[in-house]
Amino acid sequence: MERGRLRLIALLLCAVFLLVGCGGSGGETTTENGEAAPARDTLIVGMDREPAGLDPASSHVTTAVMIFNNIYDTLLAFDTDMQIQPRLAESYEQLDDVTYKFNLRKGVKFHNGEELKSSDVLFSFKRLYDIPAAQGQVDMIDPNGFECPDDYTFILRTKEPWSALPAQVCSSYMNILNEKAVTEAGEDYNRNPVGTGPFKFVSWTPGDSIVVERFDDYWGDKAILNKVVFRIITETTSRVIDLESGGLDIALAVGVTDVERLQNNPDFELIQFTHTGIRYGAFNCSKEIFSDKRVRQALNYATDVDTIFNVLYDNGLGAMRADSPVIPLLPGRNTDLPKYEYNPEKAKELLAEAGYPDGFSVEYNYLANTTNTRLGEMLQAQWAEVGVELIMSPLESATLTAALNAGEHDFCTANSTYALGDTIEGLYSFFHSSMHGTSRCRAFLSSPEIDALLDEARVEQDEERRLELAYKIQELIHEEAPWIYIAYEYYNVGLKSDVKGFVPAPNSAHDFSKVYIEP
Amino acid sequence: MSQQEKLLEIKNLTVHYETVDGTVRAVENLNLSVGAGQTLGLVGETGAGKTTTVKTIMRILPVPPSVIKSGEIFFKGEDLLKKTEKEMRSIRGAKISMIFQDPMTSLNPVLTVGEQIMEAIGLHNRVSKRKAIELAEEMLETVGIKGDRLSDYPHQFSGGMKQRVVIAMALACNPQLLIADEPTTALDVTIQAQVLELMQRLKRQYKTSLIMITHDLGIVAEICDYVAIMYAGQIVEYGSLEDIFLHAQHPYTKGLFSCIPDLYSDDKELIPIPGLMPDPSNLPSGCRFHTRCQYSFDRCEIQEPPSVEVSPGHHVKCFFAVPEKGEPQGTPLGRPV
Amino acid sequence: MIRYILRRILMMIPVMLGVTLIVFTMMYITPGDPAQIILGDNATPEAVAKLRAEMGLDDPFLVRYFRFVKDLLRGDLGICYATKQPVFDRLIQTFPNTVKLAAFAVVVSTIMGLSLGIISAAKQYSLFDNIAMLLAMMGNAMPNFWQGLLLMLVFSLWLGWLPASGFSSFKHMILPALTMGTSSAAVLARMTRSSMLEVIRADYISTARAKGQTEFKVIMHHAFRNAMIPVITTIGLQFGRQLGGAVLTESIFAIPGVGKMMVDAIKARNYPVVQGGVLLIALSLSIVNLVVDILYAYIDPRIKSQYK
Repeated sequence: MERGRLRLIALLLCAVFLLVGCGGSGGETTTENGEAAPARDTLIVGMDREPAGLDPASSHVTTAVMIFNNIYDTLLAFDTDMQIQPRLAESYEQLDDVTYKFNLRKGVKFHNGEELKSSDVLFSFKRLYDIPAAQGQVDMIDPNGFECPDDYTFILRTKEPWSALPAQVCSSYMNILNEKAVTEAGEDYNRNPVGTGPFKFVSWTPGDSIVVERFDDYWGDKAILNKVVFRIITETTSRVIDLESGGLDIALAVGVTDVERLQNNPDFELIQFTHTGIRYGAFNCSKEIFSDKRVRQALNYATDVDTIFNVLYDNGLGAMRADSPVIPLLPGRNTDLPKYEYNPEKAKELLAEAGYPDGFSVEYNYLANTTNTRLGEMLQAQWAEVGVELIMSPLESATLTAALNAGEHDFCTANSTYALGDTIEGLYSFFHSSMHGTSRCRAFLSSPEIDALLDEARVEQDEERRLELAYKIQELIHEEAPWIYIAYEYYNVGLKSDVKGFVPAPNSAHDFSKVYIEP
Repeated sequence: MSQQEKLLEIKNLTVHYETVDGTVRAVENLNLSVGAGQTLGLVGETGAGKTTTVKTIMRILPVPPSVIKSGEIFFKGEDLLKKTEKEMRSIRGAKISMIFQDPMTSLNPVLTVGEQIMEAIGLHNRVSKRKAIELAEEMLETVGIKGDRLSDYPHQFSGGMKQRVVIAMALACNPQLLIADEPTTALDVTIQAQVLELMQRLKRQYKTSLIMITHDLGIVAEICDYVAIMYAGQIVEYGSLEDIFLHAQHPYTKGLFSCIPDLYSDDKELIPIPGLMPDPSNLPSGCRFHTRCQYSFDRCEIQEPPSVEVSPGHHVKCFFAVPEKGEPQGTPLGRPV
Repeated sequence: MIRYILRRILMMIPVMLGVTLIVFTMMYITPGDPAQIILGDNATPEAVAKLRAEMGLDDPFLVRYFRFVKDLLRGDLGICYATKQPVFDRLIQTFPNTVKLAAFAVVVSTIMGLSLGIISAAKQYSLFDNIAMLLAMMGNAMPNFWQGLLLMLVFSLWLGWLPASGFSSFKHMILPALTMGTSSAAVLARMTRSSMLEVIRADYISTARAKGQTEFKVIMHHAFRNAMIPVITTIGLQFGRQLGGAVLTESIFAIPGVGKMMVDAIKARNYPVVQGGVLLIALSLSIVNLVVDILYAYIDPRIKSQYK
């Protein structure tokens, strides 16, 4: 009896300790939505992915790029219209075909108090050659061509003439780091970043949040907010509920299903913008069947993209219908391309001409999710009408990437972004035959004509001529039909209506220094 | 036996089990009494309603499905069926105790025997823990187990020892009535004798009345003062040990005796009672035994026989019952032999 | 008893090695290249090949496995491919959260499950029993994902009582623990009920009643402890399930737990993290099982005598 009672008490005590233990060690991350604070100067942002690290050379997910843009600066940077603007470099000039001179801003402070010198730029660029993830970024830059004539001048040379160098300098990989900070932190730099940006890093609770606060010695316009908490909420629905229930001020990457609801709620604002990606279907031109462009054209005719688009994107709520391989944000986009109208008869003719009067069967490798499954089912039905059997073959992401890079697929769909935010660089990575095996090249197109034009455009320094070439290249690509263009997807951001000054960046590198909360 | 002497008196008790499959008439119109210090043997086949009867006295039948349809149970002149649950709790274990059939399962395996004996003591006596331990040890010694085994668990005892523990537990509060539900059935024959002897000794020592449920007439002969024979929920014959063993009148009682081998006569064959106990949810009309009774006649099928006091204190529920001075109850065929 | 425990702990070593071999083999045979994932979309095939060589991914299976085991025996779980932190550090960051959550969920489910189960058994076939068992069936059938969102919708969005996601205070733990706890509670309630019903019919329960014990004490003191063995087993299993299977709940409520980390690691073919995580979960399960076995002995003296 007595013993039993003691045991019961012990059990209850255990339960209490557990509860207390759980509650006690909550950690200091402030995700309380500042109910007590009179003036709200902390912004809480919900983002969909956690960066692997905050060393710009080692991470490439969009959320990392966004945080980099707030704690670091590049020499040059894209503005929200995708135009290149000076940043840490007050100005730059091209000395000859391959040499660029950057005049650095004076009096720029790093978060650790150090002043920006050209040696930091040299250090930041040179280290990229040693980091596997970043090596591709400096492929075109001559490692022996860097020069620091004085503390505020930096000279860089490309290996060969390359028109996209300024765009490359805008890349988040090319953010300027402080040599001393990186050397001191060593392996821990990934979790202790030091930059020159408007916000400085405060803390990172893995899996939960990254906190930055205003850097008062910023060289430009100082940030209005005191603090920004980037919370990691991977589940889209949860992120929106958290926004609606007051836990977040901004929810990034809002799903299509929530768009209308937020639009109709006066307490929230929904911002939609196209980002630098395009969703398309790609035929693997290195496969026997798809080596004939008539087959690729035939399937373009056999596909009712309008129907697919309306189903997948809620009649245009979530995206813009694609009509060219180039995204609307970029210059040089050819809008005069004749459409491949839905025409099964014509498709059958072309297939017969190509020697497949009875059709054939192809495999569709895709990332197993609802969108792709619906897309595949629609294609299956549409292509069946012209005698082409589509075999659905869903894969998990790493397996899929491996298969696609190896060119094992017949047909796949993808949502790819434009490399460096540049028309020519993007087209080059998608369609140049030297890019086979890389992860933007899904069509394995081998056209000497297109290759030649891309090579030419890549070194062309005259912007107008470059765009002319881009125009021409799109025509050729359209004729070759390695892709079925589907959509330029919108990126949705939900905000509380008192959050002002947020201007979305097409490359997702949103700048929070001008954001404020209306009292 | 006068009203005062009767420790327990059951009047017209009817208990049914009401289930979705139908009503089981487990006990019907049962009358029974036990005098102070006396031992009553409750005899019958499995399913006759013996256990239901005694569990009703204790009021520990599960409700539902059991329903007490009617009757009164007077214990020391007070009707137990009118007591509140709380009042009943102070009677159970303290004034009326019960020993269950299987000592293997009637002790809680996860508590020490000491805890279980002390539980009974602690429930009805305001004693310190130390005192409770002392009393429990004393009880163990009384039933012939060393007191230091108080902290052992039931699985560390043999069957007979367990039954001794159960007895110790039941007698711990010195009850006035002890109900033993086939306390020796699950034991070896040699152990049976020891346990019975122990019970008799303690009964005398504590001046406890005893209801002994059994189907073993040998045990009855050994320890009982009175015997009630139960069949299909009714007492068919009730009387002193002598009445039942020497002057049994009910055909069922007689049938029971002819099932026992007689060591002293070698010519008699064992005669089993033909047939089985009727299904208690589907009892026969009239006399419940008529389906198996070799003497039954048409009236037995239609009318329930009354209980006849054939001699003082000897009741028989049969049309053929003949009072010592008188005629049988209107039988056309005369008295059966 | 102590010797028994020591023996069980020693037994864990070969079990853990077996687990690592299985996981290692599974990761080895699934396609997908961690180097490619680390380098991202802009990588050239040459860079990928170079990184693979640096990471030792081109070595034969056995070489890689023995290297892993050798490091493991020295207490080195390797370096996370993604964050470049030691795997041990990543586990230290995430595992306590998962344990807290799982423990809280187990407390919630135990309280709910046991009370429902016990009352249902004590009042078998009553209205309460029927409703409780219906709820248990629903709790079991409701997918965690859906239930989590529903709870979030009701308690965060409509009522505004609890935060929708995150893991920085006790308040944050309530919804996820409820989400994880209800299905376990349902399993437990049913298990407790049937186990109790079996015990309630036992003779010693009648004995206890015949002693004059109160019904509450009869149920709690006599019946419940005897019904505990299968119930404790179920609680142990549920705790294991919570540890390993909190993935969905962790994603929905944005909790930095080990489940979410593992899923991300599997997607990224982050072998060291997957290995470390599986090892840790397997180890915790073994420990939970051991604790359950020790509890058996504590509850049932008959079992205790077998452990010697």
